[in-house]
Amino acid sequence: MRQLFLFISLGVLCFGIYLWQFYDVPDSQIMINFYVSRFLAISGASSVLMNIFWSSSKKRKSEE
Amino acid sequence: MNKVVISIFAFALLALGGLTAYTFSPLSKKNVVPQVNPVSLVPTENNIPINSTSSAVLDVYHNRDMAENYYTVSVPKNWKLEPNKPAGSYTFLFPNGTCTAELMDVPDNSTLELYILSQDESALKHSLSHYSRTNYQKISIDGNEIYQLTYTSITSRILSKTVRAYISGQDRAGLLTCSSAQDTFTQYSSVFDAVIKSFKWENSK
Repeated sequence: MRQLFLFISLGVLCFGIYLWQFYDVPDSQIMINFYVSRFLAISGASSVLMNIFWSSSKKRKSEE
Repeated sequence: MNKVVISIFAFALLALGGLTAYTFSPLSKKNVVPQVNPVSLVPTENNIPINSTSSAVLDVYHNRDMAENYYTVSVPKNWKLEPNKPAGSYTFLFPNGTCTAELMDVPDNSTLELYILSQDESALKHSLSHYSRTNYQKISIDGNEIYQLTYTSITSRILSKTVRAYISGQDRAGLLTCSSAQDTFTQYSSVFDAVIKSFKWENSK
């Protein structure tokens, strides 16, 4: 389950970076692209971090 | 749930809130949407005449509004620059006509020529009264491909003739639209040619 969550988070992060850096934005959509790309990048990055730290804390507990 | 995860979650929520506030506040429009650079509006003088038959000299405008799309365009000194135009564009007024220089966004999944013939010309047909194409040609100047569309239309009950030149570029395309009343077009034709040939990308290398 956690792996699925990590996979989706990475997908969201990559899509956000793609929209931010590589997508050819039409003039009329500059503002919406600015918001959506950064929203996805922040959400994706924080989800990935949460997943990593959650996993490591579980591992530490089981080792103890 | 450990403290680190909670703090990352809280930080993400704060960041998203900040992003939302920033994007939709009046201040952000200034930073996100390209603005006119004051340098773009100050021409430099070029003492070279327009052509061999005219002694009128050109003003050179260096557009610095959009990164990757810096360009220069020269127009006769007596043409009047209209104020308050969007970033990357100019509109010049002269007796019986206008000339605009602007940047055009061509989608990545199309070529410039395909875009002109399939989208832009059909938009012109719909928006202009009595649109009629009189010429279409492709020329190359200084390594830039230029597609030149000439047409007549009726604007404010006056038959006008327009030459519209699309200059291929690395990011956007340059677009020059010079228009005058049909009976004075011949008089301006060589000037329009000089203006079109003066268009140069400044950061194409």
